[in-house]
Amino acid sequence: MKILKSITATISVLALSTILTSAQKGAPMVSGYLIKADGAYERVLVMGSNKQGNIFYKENPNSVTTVKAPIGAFSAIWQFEPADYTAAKNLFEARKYQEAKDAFIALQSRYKNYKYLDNSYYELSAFYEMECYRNLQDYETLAKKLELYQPDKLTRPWQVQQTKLYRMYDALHKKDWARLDSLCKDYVQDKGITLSQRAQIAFCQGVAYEGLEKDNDALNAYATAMTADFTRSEGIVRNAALNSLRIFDKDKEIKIAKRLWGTDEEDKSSVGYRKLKEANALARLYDKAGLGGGVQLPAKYKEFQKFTSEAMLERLKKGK
Amino acid sequence: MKKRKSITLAFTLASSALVGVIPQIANAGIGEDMPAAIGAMQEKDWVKAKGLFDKVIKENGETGKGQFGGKFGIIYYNKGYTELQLAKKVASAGGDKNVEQANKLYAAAKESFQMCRKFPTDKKGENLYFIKSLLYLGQSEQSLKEYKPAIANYKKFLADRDPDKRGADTYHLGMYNINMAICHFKLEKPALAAGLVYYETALKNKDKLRVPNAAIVSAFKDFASASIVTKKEKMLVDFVNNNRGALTLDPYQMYQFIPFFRKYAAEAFSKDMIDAAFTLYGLMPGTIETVEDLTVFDKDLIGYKRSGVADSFINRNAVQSVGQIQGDLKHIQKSITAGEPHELLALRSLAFTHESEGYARGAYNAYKSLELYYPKTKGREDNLYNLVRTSSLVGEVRETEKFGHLFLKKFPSSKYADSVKNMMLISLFYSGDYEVAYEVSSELIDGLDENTKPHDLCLHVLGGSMFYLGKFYEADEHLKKHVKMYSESEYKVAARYFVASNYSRREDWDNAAIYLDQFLADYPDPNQNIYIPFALFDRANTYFAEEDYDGAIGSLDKIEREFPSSSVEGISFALRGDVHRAKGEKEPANDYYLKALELSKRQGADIVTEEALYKLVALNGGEKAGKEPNPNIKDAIPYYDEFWKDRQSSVYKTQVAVAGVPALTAAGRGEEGLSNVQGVISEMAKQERAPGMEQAINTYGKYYLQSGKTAEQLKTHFEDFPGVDAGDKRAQALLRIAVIGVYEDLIKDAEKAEDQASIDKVGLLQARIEAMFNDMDKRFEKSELSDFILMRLANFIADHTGNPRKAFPYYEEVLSRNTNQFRTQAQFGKAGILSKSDDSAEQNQALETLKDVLATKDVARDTRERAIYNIIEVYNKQENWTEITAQAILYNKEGFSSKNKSRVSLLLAKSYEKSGNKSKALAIYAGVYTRYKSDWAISIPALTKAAEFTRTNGKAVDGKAPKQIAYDMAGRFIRDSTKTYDELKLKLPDEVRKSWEDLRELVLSWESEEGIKSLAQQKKELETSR
Repeated sequence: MKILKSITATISVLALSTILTSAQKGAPMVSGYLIKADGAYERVLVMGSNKQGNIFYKENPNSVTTVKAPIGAFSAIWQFEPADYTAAKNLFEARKYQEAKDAFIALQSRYKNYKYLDNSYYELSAFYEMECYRNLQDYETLAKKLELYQPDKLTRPWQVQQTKLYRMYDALHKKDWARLDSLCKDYVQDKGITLSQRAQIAFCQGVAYEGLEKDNDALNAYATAMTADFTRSEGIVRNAALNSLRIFDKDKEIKIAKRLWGTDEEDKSSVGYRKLKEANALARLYDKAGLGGGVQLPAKYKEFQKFTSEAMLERLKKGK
Repeated sequence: MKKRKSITLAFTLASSALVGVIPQIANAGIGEDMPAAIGAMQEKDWVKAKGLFDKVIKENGETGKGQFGGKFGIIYYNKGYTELQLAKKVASAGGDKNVEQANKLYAAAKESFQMCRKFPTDKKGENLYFIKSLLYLGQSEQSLKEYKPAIANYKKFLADRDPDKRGADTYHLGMYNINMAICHFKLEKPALAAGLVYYETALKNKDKLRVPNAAIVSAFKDFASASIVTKKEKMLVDFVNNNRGALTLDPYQMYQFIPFFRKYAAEAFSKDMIDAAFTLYGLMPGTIETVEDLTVFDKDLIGYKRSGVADSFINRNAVQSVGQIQGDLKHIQKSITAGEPHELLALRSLAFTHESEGYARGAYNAYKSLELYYPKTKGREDNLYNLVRTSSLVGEVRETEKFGHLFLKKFPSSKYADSVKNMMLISLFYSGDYEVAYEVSSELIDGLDENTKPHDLCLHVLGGSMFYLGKFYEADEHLKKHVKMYSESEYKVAARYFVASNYSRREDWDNAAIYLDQFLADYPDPNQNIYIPFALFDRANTYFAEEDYDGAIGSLDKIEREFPSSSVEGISFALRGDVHRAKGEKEPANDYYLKALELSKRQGADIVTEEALYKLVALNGGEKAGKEPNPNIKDAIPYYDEFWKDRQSSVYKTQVAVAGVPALTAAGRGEEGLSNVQGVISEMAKQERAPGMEQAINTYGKYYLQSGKTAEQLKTHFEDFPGVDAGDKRAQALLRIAVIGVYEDLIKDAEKAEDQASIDKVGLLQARIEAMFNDMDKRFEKSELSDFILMRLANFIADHTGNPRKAFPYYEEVLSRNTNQFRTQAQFGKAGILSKSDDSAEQNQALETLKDVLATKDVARDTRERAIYNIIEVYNKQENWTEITAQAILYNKEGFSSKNKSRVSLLLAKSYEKSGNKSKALAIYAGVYTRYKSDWAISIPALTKAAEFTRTNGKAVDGKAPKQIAYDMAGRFIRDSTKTYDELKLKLPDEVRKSWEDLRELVLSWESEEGIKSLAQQKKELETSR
């Protein structure tokens, strides 16, 4: 193996960009480093891999020779992010999940020869394709995709953990509330889960509780989902808030409290009155804290905002 | 952030252009210095380069223009560029001194670029950077926070340059837009809209223009800051929502910007821009994703030992600093170890927001996450305290208790400790979770000093919880202690109410009346006393129990008039219905039940609605109206139907099913009524506790028989009752007991007739009953049976079999359970068998058992009477005369008025007799005979003894000898009772018959004695004397 000079800042953006640009044309070539245990490394263009455990690469874009070497010969194979993957990831981060999904599917086709490498863009695209299904709430396709999927080549533990969590969505899709409840209770014990995963588990737990007609527990689980990752997971936060408002909306005691609101028969110590205040607070919070992530609060829940107590109005006034 | 990346990078050095700058005919100094300076620039030795440029300017500045014309401006340009780079390097080292030094260098650079502008291209030479220097002049001004002139120079650069010209005027369009955006955002009066035009241009063309991610995020910080200052919350939030993809970097890149997001989010938060605050917090990656991302880069790319290790690499259009990656990784790992990851602030802020907006549930769950996932944080005490507090606010009282205990364990000396204890008690108590309030207050009370506020609250909660849990007798002591010890307590009104109400709960109606009246008199102001309607309701109940219906109506009327919206209004209507019903006033009873129904429906008070429906069914659906059949029985049906349609899970279901049968039967829906009762029975069969099941089964049996079925058909039907399967042991046993009940009723009927067929029938039914009890004895495990069934079985075995001792296990099973209903009965049953034993040890066991009954707290008066009486009987068996005397005197002193009183008096006399106190014995025997003359079982033995003692120990009265007096007493009784005796002798108990006959023999024997004047003689003499 050729020992190259150090990976230094002397590599200019322009130089690398040129390589990356050329790597996009025709067959994929991913710029990367092959690193050996003794620290020797080589900058190459990775061309692919095979199931016999070999990596294929070129030493430069114009080389006519493709080198074949055992993957195990290297301590690490670093692949820089290709622009097409970056573009797909940008769509994902922009929450354009439908477009991102199509892009990740195309990337898997393009980078299928890389699938035997750790953390390859084939592998990452497959992972993010499933993330798109999750965010699109297409749990049926997610379950199908998961059947054939093994997260062996992902090197970030949170991604591997996420593939385990997909089982929750299968139970959710099948409305198997008892199984969903049990899965959520298992997962929540794991302190290695990310903030977003906490939000997901709490949300699924809320749905399970709702299915099991444990409304108070569902409200608590949804409140956890709304706060677990300080509103980063906007879809989860929005749905948790709307599901909570749905629970409040169908609550018989709240209906009575609404009917008696402001009348002589209003009972401020009643459970219904307390719950109505909660519903009101959540409906206000939906707008104020942006729980909808840009999606307007439906009119039937907007109505809760009318039931702001005098004391709260006073408090809000003072707060301002 | 440790090191802010340059956002004003010069991207090209254009060193080739510099070569041409150096004048070929220059003096030796400049001729040598310039190539050296350019070389230093190429080596990025900015200090050396600046020194050389300073020297060249110093030596040639005044003559430069004349000598080199416009070309001399290039030297100023390079000097400025060098100063700019040096300034950035110094600034990146951080610290006030370096910042000051950097500013001096920026100022020098600015001056150099301005100087460059004084050397336009002329005949002597071309200043290649005359226009480009405007760009760097702008950058220098931007670094000096002179944004207005910076914008002007950036604009001028673009306006002056030839767009077709390549080479020296080449610039980084992406960074140009970023810098223009930043300058607009940072103006004294931020020009957000104008800045956004540049910023969005950069974002939209991010890849094409190769805009580094770091630059995008950095510009965003400034935009966010300006949006907050100008309170353009919506603009900020919309911008993020529209550009989230471009703004969201990989966690390893984003981590360095976290301090800014936290800072600006906190600023937004402080300005009540909550949406903006969480939009900014939401851009922070979580700790776990970040540490894993950084680890992948560190481990797989830069973590290998190799010579000339890189100090940077390129990913996603940007140069990444290895030092930054490694530093960030260490930093985040340190924050994890310390238990202070960066998201803590966001979570706390979110918790605060939810609570301040009134959604305490959100805060509670956020604090719960903080406690679950961040127990190592220094702020845990506050977090946990807030968790206890918010759990209490949302009524999650079990959690208040759980986390309250955890708080007190972890932070026993905390300034919040007392507050936590109070919250645990108050929230548990006022939420109505009395079980746990009782547990917690019982646990805390001993550790609190009396006559303190915490003890005041704890004692209030302890007594109050016991009161609400129905531990009325145990509560009394604590409630009274609170009233006595804390007369000025903030809970004093509640405490007084509990004490007064507690009397009514214990059905001590006399005291209840006194205490409730006093309470109402002491605290008559409804503004100070929220318990008035409750006390009035209790008072009404007390009147009702004492059958003072007008009094009850008076109290209920007051509730209706003065407390129309109180929470007892509904149940007051229902009670008033009961009062009118008890008075036989059906119409007003019906009206009040209807009022209760209407109100409770409006208020959603389901229990009252169901109670009212039940009472309307019971009131209207009775079989009789007085002694006549109820003509309006069908009026009950609408209420029955309404209940049955919507109230299937009501606690009144059994009662309604049972009470509705007559009305449904009258309406030709008897089968449906029975079917509903049957359904209720089969439902109850599956329940652990179903108190109304016996009544339901009995009603079912009654109407089943009324429908023309025989007792045998009932037995067969009950043995295979629909919906009751083999596992429902309790229901099966109750069904069998019901059949036994039917047989027992049939025996009573048969016993009234005296024909042989009836006698045979009684024998047959008794045999069947015995067979059924024996079958139950074998079929059921004792643990499967309810107390009621166990007692029925035990009493049957004890009273109707040859081996009463076989009842012991049943009594013991009842006694082993932690239930009270049948406990005393079981104790009596057990003592009854033991007391019949000839073994003195077992007799003593019987005594112990009976004394246990007496020792039971607040034992009922009739139970006490029965226990003392039974003790006397055991002592009688033991011939313990002293104890009989003592217990009988006690019995009499208690003033019991039971049928046992005569027997006790008899035994008292007997004990005096056996103790040798014959005079007392005589007096009591005589008294007993006189008082209970018609009760032969008592009066004959008493008379016999009185007569005998009179004979042996009596004194002559009015010349009549004691023997004659004794004879007269006994003889008159025999004479007067002979006719009755002859009529009843076959029915008299053996011992009574024998005692009468013995007395007659005694009278006859005395009559034959010398000196005794027979009654016949006395009669004759009397008639003669007349």
